Amino acid sequence: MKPTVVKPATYGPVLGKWRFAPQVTWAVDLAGITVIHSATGCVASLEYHEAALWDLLSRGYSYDRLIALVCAIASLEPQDAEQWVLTTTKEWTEAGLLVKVSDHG
Amino acid sequence: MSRSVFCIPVGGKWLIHAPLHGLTALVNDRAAAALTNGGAQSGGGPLATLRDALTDDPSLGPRRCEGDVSPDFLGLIPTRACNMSCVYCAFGAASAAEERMELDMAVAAVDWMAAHQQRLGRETLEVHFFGGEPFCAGEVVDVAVHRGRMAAAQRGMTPIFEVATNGFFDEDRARFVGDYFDTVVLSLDGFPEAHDRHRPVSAGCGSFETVARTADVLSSSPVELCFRVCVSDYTVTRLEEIARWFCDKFRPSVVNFEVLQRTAQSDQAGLSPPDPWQFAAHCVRACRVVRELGVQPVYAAATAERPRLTFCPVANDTIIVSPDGRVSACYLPDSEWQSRGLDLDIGWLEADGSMRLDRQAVNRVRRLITDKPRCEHCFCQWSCAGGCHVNNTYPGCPDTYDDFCIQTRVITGCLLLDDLGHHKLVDTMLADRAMLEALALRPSDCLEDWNEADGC
Repeated sequence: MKPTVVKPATYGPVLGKWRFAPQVTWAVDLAGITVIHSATGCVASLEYHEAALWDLLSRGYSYDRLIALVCAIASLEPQDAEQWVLTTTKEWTEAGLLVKVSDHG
Repeated sequence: MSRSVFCIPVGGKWLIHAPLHGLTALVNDRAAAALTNGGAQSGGGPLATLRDALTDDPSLGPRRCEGDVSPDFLGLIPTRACNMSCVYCAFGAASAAEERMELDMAVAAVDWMAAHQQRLGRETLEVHFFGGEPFCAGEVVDVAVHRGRMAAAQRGMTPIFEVATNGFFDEDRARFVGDYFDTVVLSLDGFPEAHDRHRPVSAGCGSFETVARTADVLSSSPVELCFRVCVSDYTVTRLEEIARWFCDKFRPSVVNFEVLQRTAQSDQAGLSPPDPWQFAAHCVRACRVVRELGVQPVYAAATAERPRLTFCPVANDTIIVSPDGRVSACYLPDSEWQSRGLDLDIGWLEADGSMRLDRQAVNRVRRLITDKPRCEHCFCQWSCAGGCHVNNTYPGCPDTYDDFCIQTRVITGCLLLDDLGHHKLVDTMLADRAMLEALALRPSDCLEDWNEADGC
């Protein structure tokens, strides 16, 4: 199987509303993405659809395009996709994986 | 003895090649005669052992696709558009429509493939991306990759992704490719000046710097990096240098050599396909260089893991979905195969996501492999398999060997000898045009057709 490469938090741009916590690293694996917070020891195994959202967040998509892609990947209606993105990013923020930087995204 | 046992003249000796038996040997005149006329009877000795092995039923014969459509991979063409203007492009990408596949269509294609492979009991979900340049529709690729990984995870399958790309994109995209793809076929044609002459972004603007950066990023990722080197008359004499430089500078797993296909644009740019004899000699030497550096060399028509009936996805039941939802057996533009009188469409993907495969069309494409008169007596028929069904052995093509056949026959013969360890013999042949002609222009390679007068 293909080996994985760990990504530091500085890898890639992040959607305007959030950035990755500085102590966060992650690696792409077969089931999704494994995220590690080195300060808290928190290890999160993100399966799908969460793994897709994490990747898209790291790649600088505009909010509108991110929602459009999540709709396609997860077969969600736009309003459901938007709600799911907000819920999921809120959970990740509470877990210290994401840091909210602005309310204007 | 089977018509698939071949006897090829190589510098005063004979190469016995039986691809369906998995057997290759170098013999002299007397041995060739004995194998042909029954002089080597069973009862002992290496020649009798060889003859016994050759008269066994071949065990490696490939099977023609039958029954349910059984694709090894799903091909997706996210767009026919391209961000470069390669002077030899046979895909018409520079002038292609900007049409991109709808995201929902990519999802439907991946979902169909996942469910179909599961029904067939397959353990992998393999998706290949072709173009144009696939990353000109990067969102389509992103969606297809994530949907594919999700579908595979849900079914306990392993997702496998491959892309053929020009590598002309930013570092973020390159890192995504390194993270999520298993194999990347990256077009890189040589030293900067030659690459830029072959593959400009636009007139006077080269692509090498960006593509080399992509190759650097991919070299430090776990991806299997395959360089596709298109060789012209301008680069052919430096092929060994180019091959060595690629392996020193980057970290490829594979270096794949192929020749430029002549187009109106390539003529206009003053580039031509290399002379086939010259290409064959440099290709064989470049293959050695690459192999010595621990990298796998490939000349696709001579390099087959096992005997095959077709060179490419065509007639292998591959499902290739175009941006407009057409499902074809070939990734070339339809105008290319239509110009040869071929119809390689096999179905379509409906707007509601359902796959409609035309059974008759699938069977028509499967039968393409049965009509290759040019290949009937050629020892490369189980590795080259006639090459491209559109450009090399299309219906009604001449049954005499062309430049593609000549270079393929020389390269295949030399690589077989190299595999047997007869490097000096290969060197001698490559320096002697008459020896190469004896190998490449022989009308029949079948051992059954050998006679005493053929003696070296």
